[in-house]
Order: sequence, then structure tokens, then C-alpha cells
Amino acid sequence: MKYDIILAGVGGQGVLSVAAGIATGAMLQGLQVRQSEVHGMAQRGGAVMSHLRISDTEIPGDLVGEGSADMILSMEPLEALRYLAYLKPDGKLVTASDPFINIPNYPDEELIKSKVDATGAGVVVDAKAIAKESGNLRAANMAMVGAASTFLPVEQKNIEKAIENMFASKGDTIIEQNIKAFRAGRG
Amino acid sequence: MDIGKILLEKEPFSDIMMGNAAVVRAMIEAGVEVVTTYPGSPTPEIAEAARAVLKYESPFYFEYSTNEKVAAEVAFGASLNGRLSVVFFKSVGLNVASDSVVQFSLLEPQGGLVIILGDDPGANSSQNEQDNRHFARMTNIPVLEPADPQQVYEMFIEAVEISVENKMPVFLRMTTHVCHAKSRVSFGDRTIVRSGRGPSFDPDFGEYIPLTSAVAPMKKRSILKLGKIRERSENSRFNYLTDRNASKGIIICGLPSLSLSDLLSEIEDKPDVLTIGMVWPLPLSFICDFCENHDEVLIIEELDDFIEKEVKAAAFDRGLKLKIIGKTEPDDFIGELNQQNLRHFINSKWPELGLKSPAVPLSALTEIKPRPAQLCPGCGHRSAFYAIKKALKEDDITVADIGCHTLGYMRPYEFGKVLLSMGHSNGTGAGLSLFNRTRRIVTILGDSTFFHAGLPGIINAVRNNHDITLIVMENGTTAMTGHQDHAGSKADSESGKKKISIKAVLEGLGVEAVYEVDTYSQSSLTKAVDDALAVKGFSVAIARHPCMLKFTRENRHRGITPDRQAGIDPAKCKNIEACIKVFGCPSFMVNKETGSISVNKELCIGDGSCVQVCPVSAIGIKKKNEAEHE
Repeated sequence: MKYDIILAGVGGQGVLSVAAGIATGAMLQGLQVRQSEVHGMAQRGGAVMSHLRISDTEIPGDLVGEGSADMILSMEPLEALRYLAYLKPDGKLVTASDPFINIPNYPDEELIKSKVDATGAGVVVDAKAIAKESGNLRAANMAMVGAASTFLPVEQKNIEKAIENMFASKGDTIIEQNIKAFRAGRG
Repeated sequence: MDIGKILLEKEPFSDIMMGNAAVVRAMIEAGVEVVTTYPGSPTPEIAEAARAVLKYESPFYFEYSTNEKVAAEVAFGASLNGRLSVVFFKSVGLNVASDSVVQFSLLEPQGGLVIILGDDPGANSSQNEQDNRHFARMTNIPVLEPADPQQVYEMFIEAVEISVENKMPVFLRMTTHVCHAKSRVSFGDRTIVRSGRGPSFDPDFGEYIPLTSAVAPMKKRSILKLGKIRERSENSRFNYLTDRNASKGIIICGLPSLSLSDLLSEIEDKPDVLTIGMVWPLPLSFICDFCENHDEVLIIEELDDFIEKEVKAAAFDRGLKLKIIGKTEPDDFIGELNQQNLRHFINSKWPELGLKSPAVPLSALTEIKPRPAQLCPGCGHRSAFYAIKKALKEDDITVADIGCHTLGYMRPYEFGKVLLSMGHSNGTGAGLSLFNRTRRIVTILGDSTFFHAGLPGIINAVRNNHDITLIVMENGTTAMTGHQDHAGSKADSESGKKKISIKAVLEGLGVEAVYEVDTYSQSSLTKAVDDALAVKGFSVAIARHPCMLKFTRENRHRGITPDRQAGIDPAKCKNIEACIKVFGCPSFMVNKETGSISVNKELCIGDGSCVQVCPVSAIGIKKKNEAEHE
């Protein structure tokens, strides 16, 4: 078994936390993990991307090849489309529905939606609404982890444990809100 | 658990770790005592990990030095005094450091010295993609090149051993995606200090003045040492063979070796692979034996044909008859060899190997608008560009420099038309000003760069009376690389760190016209720049405002979130869009159907720097809950 993921979003959307949540969950399950992060310009509102590879056998490299990602997991619909070249033919495109508009020429939202639909691989999640419901707007990224988790080779309990570890220093309320968002994201 | 605590673990352990953090554990195990740097991507997280360690223990001294040259000299001096030392910086940092580094191998640092290079194939965050292996040839400094975090850790220890044993510096060349790769690393324990401390400085240990007749024997000594290290390279476990008895062979090094493993898993008839971890001095006998056993050898390396040229020369000397295939096309010399680029490279040289072309049926769907990095909401640079532009004429020439403010070259500001390197602006600006009677020259410098390499250009302009107006963007931090302190950052009484005033430095240099304005006072800044431009000769406007990303982030960690935000009064708004088209704050959005402007509540930090921009005063700042009820 091997599972390659491209994680996408805009700097500040918590893409690296999403990667950390899934990676830690996979490790708790005894799987091998390799990851590549993008730093530097990321925090300046630019496009951010990270590679995450999970396998039960040794993984050669950190980078996912074009045409071979099992999933693109994006915090934002335009960013989901940016890395389509990485998706393999039967891969999944899991994206949050809420656009992050910080460029003047942001395309029409309906157009983006139709392009996501046209891939036939799209799973669109209203992560913002889920986060609001969970009581913490910053938990939208954990809602996305939840939505992705139904396809991942990582058990629910392991990802939940990873989320607990990640937010351990922030107190029980934050943990509960993030777990709630994760579960609601799973649907 | 906190990374600092993890790195200080006493017992052997394994954990998933970034290359930039794994190297800090290696420093602790090796007994490194002095660590210096100047911040630059892809290496700033090495400093973050080192500083995380210092919160709990002090296994080493750490400093952000003024620039890479000073950082290298501090590390060198400490090594002269018997202390195992490390300096790290980004690729182009070596250019700054090189004036001193080229002498390092002539002398004998007693305590060991490792220079970590963050090379950047693909220019992910640099102004070029220079291949620093060329410096190895020029300086006689050995190079180890890891491919992943485990190798980063192991090769650092090896670099220390080579350095201490031979009393010479060693390069550890990490590329961007090795620095930022995260995977499981198995570490050793902390009780074994591998280096042992060298003796304290004594000129009797060797000649330390490389001048005239002393240079030749020093150079010979370094060449002889390199010969000895070449023998070590011949037997190094970091150079290894994957033998399948094939007629074709590949020689490869660094990160591409991982991409290659991925690609070769697709095919049955795999070539033999010789992986090189010690790229200077190369194990040429080992490599020639490999060549002798194959009909064709393909050499795969990122950027330049460094290994290829060496191997071809050695094979020629040995009279080998095989075909050695390397770089021929311009594209072969450019960019990272990730899976897709490597696939393309191999297919162009060896189509018969049978690597598939990847299936990318979905990518042709659409062209995606780029989302470049941008000035943050509330950034003082935005206000500065807005105000400065008002003082400029159409044909004035603006000279960019390196920092967040480099982003000013983008629309709508379009400030900065030429860029070379850290601190170049006043040198380049001086040249532009010569024989230029009508067009005025405006240069820019960040505060960290002012100290790093900006001063010589300023002194030159003062001394030679160049007609330039310099804008110093003072935000109190090295913002682009993640907020590291510099010589102008706030003082720290505990460590005795002093804050150096840029204004006082300029006045001390005899600059007569120095204006200082907070960038949020936009009309005052416009006037200051106007006044500065009217001065014949060298003048300066210091455009001050703290980095708002740092400010809001520190507040958030204290539990303080912005309680105000901008709002548009629809009764006043005339859809002029100055807030978007001229000021360019990403918090403002236009509704495509109605044309009305609104504020993105998630982006706006309520700083109010936009209020002065609206010609019809339609922008106001409100308490957040009031704004939400509208």
C-alpha cells in the first residue's frame, strides 16, 4: 500500500498542520511517512504546497511525481486546481468550498466550481460552516482532514489521537473543537 | 513535544524530523560549541531549531551575525581557538563569505569547522540558482551532499570527523528540498562527544598569515590533505553501488537519487546505480571501475555538470572506451530534478529505458491564475510605497534591494526596476546617476540589509557625492526569512546585545539630509521624500513601521486578536477603487456583479493604514462586532 497526497492552500491557512495531523496519525498506525514542506514566501499570502507520502513499505523520496497523487487535499478551491497535474486518473480532489480572495483577478467562483466538478474527482466541503459549528473558525483545516480521512489508509482513531497530541498545549476546549470539526468533516 | 526538548534527548531515539532540525541534533551529538549564521532560505529553520534548544540548555553559543562573511569569520576564529564550530547560510551567502572562506583551507583551524550551505536549485527563494560545488574546487574544501534528513544527520557527523582529523573546513551542501524534507531519522546518544576540544589558539600551530612566500607551502599542504581525503572518499559508505549486473549505469548524487528510486520502480530492466554522497573530492577510482564495467553511463546531477566533467576527464586518462552521457541542452542545467524533471531528462537521453510518460489528463483543463507572495495586510511597506510613489515622477529610476520590500516591484506599486544582491542598491544607483541630469535615482534598503552589506554603498555615495535618495525601510526585524533579530533590533540587557540606531549611523557618516517618518503617516512621508529628492547629493528617508505580521502573531500568542477592522461606507463609496488599484491591500474585494467594494474580515487586521487612501473618505475603522452587524 502506498498513498501520495498533495496538500495545497494559501499561506496562513494551516496547510502544515493538516500535513502534521495526517502524518502523525499514519505513524501512530505504524506506517512510514515522508513529507516535504515549503517555507519562506509561504507566510506572505502566496500559494503553499506540501507533499505527503504514506506507505507500509519503504518510501524512496519525499516528492510526489506528476500524475501519481492519490489525493489533492486543498484548503481552497483555486489552489485545488493549481496542482491538478499531480493527480492520477482515479485520484481524489478534496477541497474546501470557501474561496480565499487576496488577488484582484480571482476567477469567478462558479467557474472554479464547474472546473472542480469537471474533474469527476471532486469532493467539495463547506469547511468554514463546519468550523463555525464546532465553535472555532480556525478548525476549518481539521474539517478538511476529516473529509479526506474517509479515503486515507489511516484509521479514524489514529488521526484523532494525532489531533489531540497536536493541540495538547492549547487546552481541552481547543482539542474538543478540533475533534468535533474533524468528525463533522468525515460526514 | 517541543522541538528543543526532543533534540536534547539523552538516549538514542528516532523521530520524524526536518533536515534543518536533524542537523542541529547532529551538532549536539558531535559536541559543536559555536554556531553562527545570517538568515536566508532555505536554512532559517536550522536557527529556529538551535534557538529552541537554547531555551533548555546551552550546548553551544549561537549568534545571528551581521552578514555571512562575519558569521563565517566568527566560526573560523572560534575553531582557531580549538572550538568545534558551524556556520550556515543560503546559497548566495557564500558569495558574501567567500572573501574569507577562500583562505580557510590554507590555514589550519584546530577545533573543526563545518560550513552548511543551503543551495537552491530552482531558485525557490533566491535571485539565482548557483551551484556552490564550484567553490569546493576553488577553495580545496571537501563537500558532502545528503539526500534526506537521515543522511543530513550522518553526513554532518562525518563532516566533523573529516574536519577535525584534517584541520580543514568541510562543506555540507543541503539543497532546498533536503532542508525541508521531513522523514524518520535514527539518532545516536549524547554521551559520546566525537570531536574532543582542540587546543586554544597558538600561532605556533602553523603559519596563520597567508602572504607572499607563505602561500605556496600552505596551498601545497591543502592539496596534499585533499589527496588524503580523496582516499577516504574512495572507501566512504556515502558513495555506494546498487549492482544489478546491467550494461547501463547511472552516476547520481543528492536529492535526485531519491527521485530516481521512485522512477526505477516502474521498470523491470533497471540500470546499475552509483550514488555519490561525497562529491568533493570525488572517488575517481571507484567511479572509473564502475565506468569500466558498463557500456554506457548516464550522469545525473542538479544544476551544473560538475561531476560529469570530472568523470569524463578521469575516464579519458584511464583510456576507457565507454559512452558517458551528460548534459547537452540548456534545460539540463536548470532547475530541480524532481520526479517529473528527472523523468524528462532520462527520457531525452535514454528513451529505450522505457520510463513512462506520466498520465496527466486533468492538467490541461485550465490555466490557473498565479497567487504570488504579497505584502501582508497592514504592512508598513505598502503605506511606504503608496506615499513614496506620490513624490516620484514618471521617469525617475527606482532601484530595488533584497527583503520583503522587493515585492514592491509588483503591481500596483512597481517600485524597484533592477535587483542584484543584498545591499547593491546604492552602488547600482550611483552608476545610474552618472551622466543622468534629469532622471532622479531612488534606492531602497531594508534595515537588516543596511547593516549586512548596505553600508559600503552608502559610504561610497557620501564620499563621492552621488546624487541619490535612499529609502531605508525600517521594520525592526529580518522579516522575509521569519523575523530574526539584526543589529538594529531592540536591545537585550540580559545578553548585552546593543541596538544600533540607523539614523545615528547615517548622521555619523556625515549624511546631512536624514528624514525619519512612520510609514502610516503617509502625507508626511511623501513630503519627506519630496524634500530628500530636492537635496543635491546623497539624502535619506527612513520609512519606519514595525513588521505587522510579527506584531499580530505575537499578539495572537498572547491571546490578543485584532478587535477593529476597516469598513466601507456604501453611501460615500464612489467605486474609485484607490484602495485596490493604488494601495493594493488584499483585504479589499470587489463584488463582480454589483461592483461594490467590501472588506475581507479574515484578512483585515484593523490597522487603518488604508483610511487616508480613499479620496472620498469612505473607509472607516470600527470595532469588530459593530462592523459585523452591518
